[in-house]
Amino acid sequence: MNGNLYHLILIFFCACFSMAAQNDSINWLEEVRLSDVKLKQNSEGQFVRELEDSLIQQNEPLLTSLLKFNSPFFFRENGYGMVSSASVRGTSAAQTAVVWNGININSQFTGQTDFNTINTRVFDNISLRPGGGSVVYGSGAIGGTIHLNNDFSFDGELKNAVRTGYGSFETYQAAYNGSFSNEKTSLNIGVSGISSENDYKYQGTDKQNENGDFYNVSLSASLARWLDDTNILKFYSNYYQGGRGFSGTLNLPSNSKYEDRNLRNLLEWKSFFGDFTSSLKLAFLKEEFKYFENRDSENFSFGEAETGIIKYDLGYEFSAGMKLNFIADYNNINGEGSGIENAQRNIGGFSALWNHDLGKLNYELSLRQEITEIYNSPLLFSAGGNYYFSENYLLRINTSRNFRIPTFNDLFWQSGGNKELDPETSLQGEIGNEISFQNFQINLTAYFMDIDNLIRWIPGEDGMWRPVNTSNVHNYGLEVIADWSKNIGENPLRLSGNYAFTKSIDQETGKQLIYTPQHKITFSGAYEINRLVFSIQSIYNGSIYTSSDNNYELNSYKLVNLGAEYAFAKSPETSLRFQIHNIFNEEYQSLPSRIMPGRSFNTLLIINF
Amino acid sequence: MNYKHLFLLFFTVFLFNSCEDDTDCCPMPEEEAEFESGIFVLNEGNFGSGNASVSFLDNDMQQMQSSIFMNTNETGLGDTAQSIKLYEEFAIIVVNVSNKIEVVDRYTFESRATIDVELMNPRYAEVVNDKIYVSNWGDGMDPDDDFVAVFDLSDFSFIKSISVAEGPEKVLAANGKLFVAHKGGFSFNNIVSVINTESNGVEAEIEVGDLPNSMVIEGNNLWVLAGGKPSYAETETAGKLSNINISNNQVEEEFDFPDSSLHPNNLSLEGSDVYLTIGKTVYNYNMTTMQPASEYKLDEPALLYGFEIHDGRIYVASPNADFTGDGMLYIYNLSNGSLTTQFSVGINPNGIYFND
Repeated sequence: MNGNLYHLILIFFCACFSMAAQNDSINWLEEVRLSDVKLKQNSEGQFVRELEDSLIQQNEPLLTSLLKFNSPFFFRENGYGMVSSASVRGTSAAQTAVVWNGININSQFTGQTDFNTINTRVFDNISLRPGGGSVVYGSGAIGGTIHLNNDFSFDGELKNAVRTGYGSFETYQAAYNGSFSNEKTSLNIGVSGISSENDYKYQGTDKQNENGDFYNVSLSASLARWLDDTNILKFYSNYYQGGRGFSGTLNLPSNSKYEDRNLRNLLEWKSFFGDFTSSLKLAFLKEEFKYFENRDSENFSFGEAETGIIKYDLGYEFSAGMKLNFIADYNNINGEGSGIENAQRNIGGFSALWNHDLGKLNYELSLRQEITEIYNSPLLFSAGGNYYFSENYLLRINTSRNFRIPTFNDLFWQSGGNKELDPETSLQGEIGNEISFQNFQINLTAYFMDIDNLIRWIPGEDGMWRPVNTSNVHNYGLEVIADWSKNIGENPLRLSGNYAFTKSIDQETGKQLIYTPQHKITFSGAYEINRLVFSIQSIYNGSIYTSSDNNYELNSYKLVNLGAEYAFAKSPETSLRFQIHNIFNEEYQSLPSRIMPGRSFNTLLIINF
Repeated sequence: MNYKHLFLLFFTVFLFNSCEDDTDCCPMPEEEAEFESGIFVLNEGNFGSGNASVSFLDNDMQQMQSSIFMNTNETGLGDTAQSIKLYEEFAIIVVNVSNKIEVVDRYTFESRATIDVELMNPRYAEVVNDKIYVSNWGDGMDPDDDFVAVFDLSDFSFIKSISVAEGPEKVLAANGKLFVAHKGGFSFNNIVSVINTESNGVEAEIEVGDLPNSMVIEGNNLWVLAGGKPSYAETETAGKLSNINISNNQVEEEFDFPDSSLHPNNLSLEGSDVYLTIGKTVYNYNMTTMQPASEYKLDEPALLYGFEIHDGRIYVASPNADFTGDGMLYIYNLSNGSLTTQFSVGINPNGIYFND
């Protein structure tokens, strides 16, 4: 019903509004340059943290490593390079959407993204948007969204960068990034790989990490070409391939192996006519994995899912600062695998976004309704606004309803899959304060989330495990993100920090959810003296409960990394970086019995030409 | 807030914590036969976390002691404890993920031996003719490598590995033979294999219902209860009760449960009464008519993960529904199903064993 309504309105708008021919090249610029314009234009009421290319390149190429030290998000890691999931504002792993160039890429099987299967070096920037404002990205955007973006430029520059490095535990890494453009065409290419024996010692024991070897390779290409003055075609492609032994635990030896491949393709045709912006997107995603319980045997279990997406987005700018977008999309997903047969779902979605810039006050309203045959989708909405009290103080307010749809495993798993499941839904609100001075910026956000119908696998009376919509959780907390920079003499000093206070309380028991720390702090800094850059990264992770009765917990830990980079040649621009991770050799576990590495080293040679 | 109270609160919290965590702080009194009579609850712990433990409840049912293996031997029990076999002075504890067997004195819980060779995915142990027989799944994904390992009870040395059909689970000795119920491991199976303990070879495979889960001996008869294939199997099948004559390994009687959605478990004999469970309901069967004489539902447990009937009581070991944290031992009156008492035990309790 809602769908029909949208459709009518869509037709109405198309028919009634004259196409006033008026080129607005400033607005076009972002539309053309960015892969995910909504991230920039529709985030009133919410804070977006952009991690720049330079920061991405400073960190190890695994997304976990980057975000662990540079965000308030908490990561649950099965070991270095092993399965890793994020918890944003105390939510579960499937309640954070990972968005690749505007397309949600969470796994169809698990509903989540393994953050150690995202190689960061092939992306131009990675943005973090905590909170539920991102209804346009659909399922999973409850705790927040993490955006992997490739951007375009038409400045005619030719840029190449090569990075190659070696580190402890026989860790090799190499990456190439190139960008080429002229006025009409822009091409970016990225290739990045890492491999590691990963046989670090388990501190405090006489054991070492066994069967934890891993490698991954990621290739990315993005191409944009102007067809004429008002039409541009963009094509994005990303291929990922990884292979890992799943390391055991302190008590559980493992001889398993996991291979996964992801292919993502996106074609966008964008046109500008008058005050209209039209975007047609076609996307094809493929995910597949093979799991070998015994890596020496031929037996494996597997999963494969293909997703086709058609998305049409029509934007109309009434006048400067007033913009309306209608988006219609259709997703067709087919999956199969061990324990899953002919899993299929078709999802239609309609969204409307309204953006209004009144100078000091900006606000945004968005609505989204998905229609699918398997479960009922609630009407998602988000309403948010910014008010600039002064140039030093900005207030943000946002409220939204979000959801997380049941995964293929939840619905179709042969032993227990439950087709009666409803999506998890959340209603949330947040208030953000941004205080900024010339060298200093601090963001302080308080939020509250009421998450219902949480999907959990629990054993039934017959002992069989089934997913059910069971609990109700209230999350609330505080998020602080701060940056400070200053020149000491000629030498720039940059400091930044994050703090997250997180309560995630099961309403039935009154207890904190497991694996959710109440406190997380990160601090990082860089100091540049001529050709030398010193850097520090540190993190404090509070203790986490490992049982729902909160009788068992895992200790807190602190990590400090130090680095130094020296630029020793100008042409080509060449520098060498040396880093020490976990300099105090802290013994720590991110999950029970999963021992993480002690002190380790790595070096990286960087050539820009 | 009164600061003195706050201090006291902190003090008690600290004291409480330190006692719980620190195994050295409260040494066990050197007493003979500390666990002479009472109930052991085996807590399998969390898979991969190496936190299996044994709790002990004295016969007067006053106090539950936790982690008695750790407290006595100053080392953890291991990862994912599966079962205990009490035999003569021994408690033989099968620790599945650790691929080992801890043999302790059943009255003091002091370690006698650790068997950690020739085991792969061990499940249950039984003793016949001074030999320990242990069912093993082998590699869970491989249907052809399942076996029963045989060890010498006198010096715990390895004797032999007997290759058997897929998924050997419960084992029971009778008449000098070993009966092995094959639930099927990761798959489904429907046989009881009979091992001749003289030759240590398989002398027969007896077809029973799908997924045999419990066996009891009554005189010359072996009663085998099979749960049937679950709803996610290609074809769901009803449970079946088979009566096997152990002298000739022949099935003498079979009783099919009327509906394929009925998956019975926990066959128990108490005097002349037969008990079994379906879901969380306990049924009392009359052996002659095979009709339920009485039934009652146990509401408190999340599930019947460990279940025993003993001396007019029902004992249920139940983990929390999400399989984290401390589980419970519930004790019910067998005659009317009323809850007598309950105790908090260790993480994910799966079995109850009577030391008497």
